Amino acid sequence: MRIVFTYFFMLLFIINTNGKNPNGLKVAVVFKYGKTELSNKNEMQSISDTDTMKFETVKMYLSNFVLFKGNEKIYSEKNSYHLFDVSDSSTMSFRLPVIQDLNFDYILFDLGIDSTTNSGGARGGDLDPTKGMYWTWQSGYINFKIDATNSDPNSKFKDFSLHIGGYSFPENSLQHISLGVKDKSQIQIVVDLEKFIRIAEGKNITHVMSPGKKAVDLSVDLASCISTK
Amino acid sequence: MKLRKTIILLISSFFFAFAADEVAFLIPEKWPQPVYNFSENPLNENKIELGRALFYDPILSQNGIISCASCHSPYSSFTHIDHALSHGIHDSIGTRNSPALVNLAWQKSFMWDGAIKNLDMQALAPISHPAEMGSSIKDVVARLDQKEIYRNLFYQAYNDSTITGEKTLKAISQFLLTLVSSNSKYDRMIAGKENFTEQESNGYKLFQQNCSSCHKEPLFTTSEMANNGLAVDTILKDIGAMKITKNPNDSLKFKIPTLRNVEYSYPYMHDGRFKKLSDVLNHYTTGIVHSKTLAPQLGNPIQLTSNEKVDVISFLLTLSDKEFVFNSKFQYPRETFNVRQSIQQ
Repeated sequence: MRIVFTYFFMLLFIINTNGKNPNGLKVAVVFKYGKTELSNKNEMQSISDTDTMKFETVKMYLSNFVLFKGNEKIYSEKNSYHLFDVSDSSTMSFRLPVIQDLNFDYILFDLGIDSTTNSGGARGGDLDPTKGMYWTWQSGYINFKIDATNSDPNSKFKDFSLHIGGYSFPENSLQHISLGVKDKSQIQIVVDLEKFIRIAEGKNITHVMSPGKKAVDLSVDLASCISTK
Repeated sequence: MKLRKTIILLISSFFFAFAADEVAFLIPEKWPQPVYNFSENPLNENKIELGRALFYDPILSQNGIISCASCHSPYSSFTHIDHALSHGIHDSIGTRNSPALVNLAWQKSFMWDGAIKNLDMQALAPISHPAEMGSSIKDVVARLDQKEIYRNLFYQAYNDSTITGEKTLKAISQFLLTLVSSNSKYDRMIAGKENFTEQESNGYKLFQQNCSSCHKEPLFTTSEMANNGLAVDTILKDIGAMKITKNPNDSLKFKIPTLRNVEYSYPYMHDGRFKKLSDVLNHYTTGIVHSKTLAPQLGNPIQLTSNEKVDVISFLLTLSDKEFVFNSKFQYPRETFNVRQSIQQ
């Protein structure tokens, strides 16, 4: 009888896990400036002893993660909202609860938060307003926030505060991103901050603190600076 | 058999106990459906009481002096009586008059410029504004977490003493949603329980002819944005909803306020420029400033004689709901604070 129960519970376990990888598929975000990956080691993220850029805040919302194989949707994450905050290393990756060796080609996600959630009620977890990513003077989330300074005396731009948000047409700064994935053991999403800041400098934009055309344009530029490793 | 009955009784008791704290949101007869999505934040007695405590507690402000009630007093229909512009921490003066907090479950947007689309998120604005509470929701949560009274209140409300921004804001919403005013003389007249005087009846007719397209019954607002022809204040230079939308079509448009309890909620308009109802009516008859976005209903001045203005004001006074302004359930929660503080001692 004991053996029967043992086999019964083993069978239940196998059915329940359904071959799922108990650890899931890791999705990590890396913010890079040049060759340096930003991390939470310092309060002000110095790129290097020689570089003059220092980052005080780097935060970004990615949402609605979907895995595709060709035109077929393989997996769609529910309640899919993730805040990546360089100052907190625990936020820089998460796991999709999918089976091991899942066959997929590319990943789809949104840079930002959808309009329904933006105009909806209070939410918790990564969407909690205590995360400092919700405008207080009007409805809506800040999709991407960067505060940085440049101590180079020759530089035209001494500081950057780019708070990119907006959800209501024509100021909707949500961007849909689709990226091919080669390494299926884990997905690394790389955000090239140096490229993004150079684009902003080229447009003479160093401060964006509200929704508008500048925020929309920069959100398109930011999306172009995101790739997979 | 006895065991089965005992089990059924225990399970039923559990569900009954759980459901006992739930509160139904009562919609007054013939009123429209509320806009607020209660399924995402169902009313609960403990959450309402938590929200009420938060509403009256200056712990929300950076200097521990300003509470929501500082600018939204129950006796003046939850507005800041006798102040054209609200003031906050360190005696800072704001840029707008505090709106009355009445029948919020039916409102589509919040703030005079309609900037906030959901009631849950409205409290973030005064909490964070440097001239109001001068704090942040993150700091508020940290302060609340230091107080045993709040850890207990949050536990009672959410079965979990962990305090978050979401729970804090939703609890405040719950209290605000209970602020329903629907028992004025007007309401009793509509229900056939009371009669208007001849003056009030005449005023009601004039109101329906001239005012009700924007101040629509029974809420006495459409909650839409409108330019009601006010001259721009040269110091405040408030452009209304355009500040948020950046759409020139929204220039000088402000949210149409409810007229319920208007007797108690002076001064009037988004910047509190009118102290008396007669000033308001004089504006509509002789003071309209024309601009591209002026509400079409005000294209021609409203025609009212002096006597007719008095009649309209008589009608407006029938919108006063004493039960609402003196409801002890809406006032400072002495029991909550006194009992809890006694326990802490």
